[in-house]
Amino acid sequence: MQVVLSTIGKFHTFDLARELHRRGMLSAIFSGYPRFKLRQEQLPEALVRTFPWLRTPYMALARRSGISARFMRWVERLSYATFDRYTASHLPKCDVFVGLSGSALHSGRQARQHGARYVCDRGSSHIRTQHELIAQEHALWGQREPDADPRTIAQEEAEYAEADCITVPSRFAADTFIAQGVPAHKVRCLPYGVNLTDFHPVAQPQADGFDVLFAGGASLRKGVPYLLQAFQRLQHPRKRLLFAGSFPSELAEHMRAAGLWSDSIELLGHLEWPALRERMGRSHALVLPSIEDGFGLVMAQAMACGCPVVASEHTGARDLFTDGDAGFIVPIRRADLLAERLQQLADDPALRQTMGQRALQAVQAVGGWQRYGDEAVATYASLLPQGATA
Amino acid sequence: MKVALSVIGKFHTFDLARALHQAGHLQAIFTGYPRFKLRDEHLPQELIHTFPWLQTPYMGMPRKEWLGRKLVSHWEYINRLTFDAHVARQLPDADVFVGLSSFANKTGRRARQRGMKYVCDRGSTHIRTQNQLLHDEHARWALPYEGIDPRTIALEEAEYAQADLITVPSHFNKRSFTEHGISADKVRVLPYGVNLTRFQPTHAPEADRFDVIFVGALTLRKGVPDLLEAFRRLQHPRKSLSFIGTWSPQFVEVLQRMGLWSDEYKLVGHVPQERLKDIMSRAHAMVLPSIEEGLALVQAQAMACGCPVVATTHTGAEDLFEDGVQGHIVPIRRPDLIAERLQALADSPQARTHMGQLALQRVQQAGGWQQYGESAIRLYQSLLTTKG
Repeated sequence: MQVVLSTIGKFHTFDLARELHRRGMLSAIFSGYPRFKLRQEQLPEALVRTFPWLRTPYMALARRSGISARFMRWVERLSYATFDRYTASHLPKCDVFVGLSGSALHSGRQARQHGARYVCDRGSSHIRTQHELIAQEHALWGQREPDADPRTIAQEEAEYAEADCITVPSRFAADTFIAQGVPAHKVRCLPYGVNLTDFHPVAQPQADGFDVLFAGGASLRKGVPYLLQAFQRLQHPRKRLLFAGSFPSELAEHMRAAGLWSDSIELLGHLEWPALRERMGRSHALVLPSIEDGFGLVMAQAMACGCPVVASEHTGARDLFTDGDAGFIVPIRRADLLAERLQQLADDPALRQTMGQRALQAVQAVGGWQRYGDEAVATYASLLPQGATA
Repeated sequence: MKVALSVIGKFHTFDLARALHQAGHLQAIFTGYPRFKLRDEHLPQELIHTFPWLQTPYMGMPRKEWLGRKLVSHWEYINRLTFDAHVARQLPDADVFVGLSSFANKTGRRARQRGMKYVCDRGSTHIRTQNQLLHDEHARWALPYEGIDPRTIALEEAEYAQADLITVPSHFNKRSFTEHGISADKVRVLPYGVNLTRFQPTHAPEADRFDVIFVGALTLRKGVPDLLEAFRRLQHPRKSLSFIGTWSPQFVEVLQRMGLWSDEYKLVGHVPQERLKDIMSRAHAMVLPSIEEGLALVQAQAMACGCPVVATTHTGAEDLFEDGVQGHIVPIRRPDLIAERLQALADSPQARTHMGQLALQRVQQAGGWQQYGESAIRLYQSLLTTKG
């Protein structure tokens, strides 16, 4: 079996590429990244095909301020369309083509015309569900909804329709496809591999404190307001809420105006992995209250540091642990339940410690990228006629 | 007076910028070129604002055919709008904003709202004339024509409408605007400056030959089939035809299919300027049979080498020389007339040499970029003194 991959950036696709290459199955990987940024990816240069002409300027532009969001979306769409066209017109012969969603419609079609199977790899929920959830969330908090380009949605839905198979990283994501009417047999759940070499217990939480940690870019999509509400209700004399990652000043202003801010909140900014690992070890709980998240990798990282997780159902938590066992899973937008679970952990240090240990065991069972590679290969092989996989 | 310029590439706008800067009028120049390509422009770096994000990859990508016409067109369009939006946002206070056409619609509007005068600088014919000429020429040879993106046409026409003034490099260009109902007062001719420091006669043509050259890209727009037809008719025992400039095998194939191409014709390709003067000096005539041009300075370069020019009326030739005196000017799509003029030059070497000398004298009187700048400054100043 020969597989071609396409990804507008790097994401998890290069992890998959290495796994396929180790098994002698990688025919090529197309990326919108420039070659010099892919030198560390441990893949033979000849297998890596790059089309950075618009993606790289787009990313450089995105780091500058002052370009309107509308233009940035145009440039982004153009970077997807040209990358897709490049891949389509340079596609080598293969049995399976796996395209990261959003920039692979023509390549997928081209692959199918050549008799290959087309796998649409989606890193998140069904695009329509995603947009609905995010729009609702903005409406709930009186924020202007980020305008969704209907063409982006249409293009992605065309990919879902064209593909022989859609792979997603969590059962939550898979369920949204089925709810949107995509046949269940077409959707396969492949949870990402968890690389635990950088994450292991290196520190212990302080016995008399209660540190709640949020890791990642704070946003409405990540459900930050519900965490702030829950934290307000939490009863503990030495409670703290720590944010590791970017925290937009507009969101902070907005939360202040909503009366959700307090002096016990600390913004740590971006942390490098060693610092994040230590912070996870020292925290009493990590909360991931997302409204929409494909696969919250920070949960696995926290678990690997022995830190229990309280997550919403829309995060891929179900694929990592069982509710009440190695952490807690609550419905989205339920600050009351988040607060209850945190209170439980705060009031019962023994429970917290047990959960932390179970988290450590649970995450080790999830497996790394090798397991992901095995499952991916099995999934792709199942699409081919029997005997064609040798 | 402070003037701000915008240009997607370099073109003549950097020559204008230098002239404005020397006179103390340059406030800023915005370009889609990357800064590292502008180090030798003899302008203070702080006056140059670059926005290369989409233009530079567009220029730098070696081949785009596989992208398809639609996506390339879309890239060009997004490039226009993002560059324009960037300049509109960053435009400093000035009295006059001069924007190269199809990249300055929004900036022009903003500039006027801020009380500045807006000059639309167009390097060619009215965009509808251009589209029509190209359409007709393709139809004439039964070749497919995609047409200029209608969105670009709309952008240009919006610019023409809102500009206080439109500048073009030739009277031929100006007529295309008045033919589209734009008032003659609003369209001004500023012939490009001629920089002759690199062009002078270095050799004499061989006596018993007749060597014809074409300088420029080998395209339908440049009227190449008419030259081939004219050259075929030309009677001379030792005639030759050489093409200097970029060419594509695809277009040569098209010419072969038309039955116009002969393997005796030389495809020289692009040559550096120091070699160009030798080629021009040795040639007996240069033909510029273009269907559409702004002002083709290659004519001035040939004249400076003492080489007579046979050009169409659509090249800006009338702004460079008088028909029948320092060269010949013929209507477009008249290979018979091109052949007649070439035959006259071939049959009378003395008259040819005399015409070459007159061409040399004439072009030496042409203004350089300094003069272009002075005329531009006078023109912009006149906008500020008139009311409304």
